[in-house]
Amino acid sequence: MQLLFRSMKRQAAPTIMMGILYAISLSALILIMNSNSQIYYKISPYEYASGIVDFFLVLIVNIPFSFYTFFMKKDGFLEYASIRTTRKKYIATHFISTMIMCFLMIFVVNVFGVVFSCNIADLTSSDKMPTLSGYILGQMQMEAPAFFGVIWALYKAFIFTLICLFAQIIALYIDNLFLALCAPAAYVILENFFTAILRIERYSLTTTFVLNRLSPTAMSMWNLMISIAVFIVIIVLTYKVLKHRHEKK
Amino acid sequence: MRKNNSTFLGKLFVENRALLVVNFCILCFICGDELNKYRGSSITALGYILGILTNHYYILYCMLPIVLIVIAKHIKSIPEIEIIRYKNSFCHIRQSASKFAIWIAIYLIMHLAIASIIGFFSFNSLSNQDLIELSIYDELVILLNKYVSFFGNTVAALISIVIYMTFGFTVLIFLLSYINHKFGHRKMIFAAFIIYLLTFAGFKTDLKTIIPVICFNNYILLHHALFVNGVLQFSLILFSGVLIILFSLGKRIRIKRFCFDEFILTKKEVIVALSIPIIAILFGLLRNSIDVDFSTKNVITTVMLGTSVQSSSFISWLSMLILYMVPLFFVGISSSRLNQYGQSPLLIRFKNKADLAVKSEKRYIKFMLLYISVLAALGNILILIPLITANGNDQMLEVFGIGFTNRIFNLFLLIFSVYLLFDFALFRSLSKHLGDIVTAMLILLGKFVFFLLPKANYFMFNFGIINLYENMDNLHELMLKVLILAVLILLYFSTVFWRLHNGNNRR
Repeated sequence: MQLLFRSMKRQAAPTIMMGILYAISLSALILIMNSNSQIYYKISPYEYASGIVDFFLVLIVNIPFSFYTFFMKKDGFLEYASIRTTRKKYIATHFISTMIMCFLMIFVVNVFGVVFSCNIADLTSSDKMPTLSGYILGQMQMEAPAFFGVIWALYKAFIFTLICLFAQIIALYIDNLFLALCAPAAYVILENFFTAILRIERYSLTTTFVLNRLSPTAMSMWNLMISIAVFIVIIVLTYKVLKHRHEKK
Repeated sequence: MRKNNSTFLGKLFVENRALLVVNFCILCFICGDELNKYRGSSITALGYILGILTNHYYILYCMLPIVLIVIAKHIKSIPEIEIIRYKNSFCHIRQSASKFAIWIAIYLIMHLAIASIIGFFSFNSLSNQDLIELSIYDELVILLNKYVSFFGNTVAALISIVIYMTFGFTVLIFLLSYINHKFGHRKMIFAAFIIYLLTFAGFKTDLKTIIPVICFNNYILLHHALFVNGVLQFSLILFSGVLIILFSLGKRIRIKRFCFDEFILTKKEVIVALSIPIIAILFGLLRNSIDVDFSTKNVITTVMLGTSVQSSSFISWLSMLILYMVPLFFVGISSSRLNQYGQSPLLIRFKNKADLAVKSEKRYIKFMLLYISVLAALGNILILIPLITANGNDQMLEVFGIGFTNRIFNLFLLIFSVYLLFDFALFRSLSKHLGDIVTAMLILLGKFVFFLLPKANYFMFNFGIINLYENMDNLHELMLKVLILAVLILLYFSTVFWRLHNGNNRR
């Protein structure tokens, strides 16, 4: 437990820095969207703004944490750490602490984003207002956005924790710094593109974390579950393949 | 047939006699059922035989599981020690799988024989009419007529079905033999199970058209591969089948010698980089080929469309972003490796650091020219195909009134090359001060900002086909912008080469 807390303490500085950067860009975009677009619901400025920031979010949850993991391995620190505890336990603790910090960062910033959006939303009333009721928890999005925001932030934090885990695995086993830090983002971008070309964007990982990205029918619970399950399988496969390759060396 | 081959084939029939008896009993039952159904119709004996051999329920629920079991038993029965009689393990696989392929051909001919005996005794065999006429709607009759009209006559259709099915099962045996050799018998059984699941998934869902190469029903059912997927996907399935066989026989692309070019940018990296746009275009072809107004030329305009002030689509932007960023991504990987091993004793062969820098720049330029050439070859071929097949659908002609010809595509590619080289020069010059990762992120951010604010994108970074079309009336201004970028690129390269000749002579 002490090891976990120490590891979390070490991750605190990059988490806070990236969290602040993320929160500033999200709030700035919420303000811009609120003044530039027609806002029908309190959650809409957040919805439009987060759609833009989400493109870079993979890099935000990846680079600060993976950088540390990469150099922890590269500098041979793991060899020294294994004198006091097992290498496996140390890596597992480090991964868990990173995932907790990533989860907290995404959760806090998104809750802040939704609350900020609800407070500043400049609502326009119209007879032909688009409805969000077809989406998952659509009624809640329209009527209780703050409460929905908490649930959405929890869900989104879970997805990005998975992406963070994926990035950690890559950073631990790949020797090339550029590849180790950019591969998760490259994966998400390519996956998004290829699923779009194949017209199966409903199964894309990007669809799972961008709020109301596609039509309500395409964003069913089942489709989102499939995308997440496929990503988990890819994480496991990546881990197995990279570990096998590393052990062969 | 050589004696050892006939002994082997006979042994295989005897060993699996119980399974084959069950198999042929089911076949006779199906023959009887179909006989009862079509007795009063205008179907000929050959049409009846065709109907039996295209019965996908029989093939997937009876024939395929039985063949899988026979393959599994056959592979298990091969003594491992026998491998010492061959030059290498691949020769062993080739020998054993080829024998099995002959067995499959005989097994299918037996099907043909059983169906022929029943068919010729029950239906009119002398009718010249190949197409079947039936007053009520029957899916099988429609399929049979489709076969006949595609192949010209029933005999050609029958021969094609048998050959295609033999090919499919040959792919299967080669693949499973390779898996058995590489990972063992248990994993081979597991792989066979996965193949069966994929076959079933392909049969029941649209997966057979979305990713045709992984659904095995496309390899054994000619009408799934050819009629459901179309000629283009059919060629792809055939090609991937041949590739699987070659892969199982150990035919790979091998790196013959190590050199500094290989150290700077490996062949594997070059292949991966080139395969990304190829896969994107192939996926585009696969997905769009089912559209009524499909034209291969439109796939190129979809993948390389880009965005502008009037037309802003995220996927079009992402597509162009990937085309521009793929080479930079691999240059970044290479640059990171050079930094990592930059102090290696191996590099002592270079005169100085500038010499290494020039060598790597040359290698990157060669790589990028190769990348552009692949795009040029692919694009020009896809534009030429509609001219040959006389399918003239052209979405650019409909929207802008100017047809998308090879001339326009090559002009676009020329401008694209300048923009790509500009991105490269920008990446290389900034990365010296900011590092590769920060530079890559900055370029990504810059392109994203220009996507959000297209009016600010004066130089049209992330240049796509739409930008060329929108500037057709104003080509001089466009060329001026391209010229400015070309001068900047030249400045960058002259700096690099100047450093080699002068910078390193300073004491």
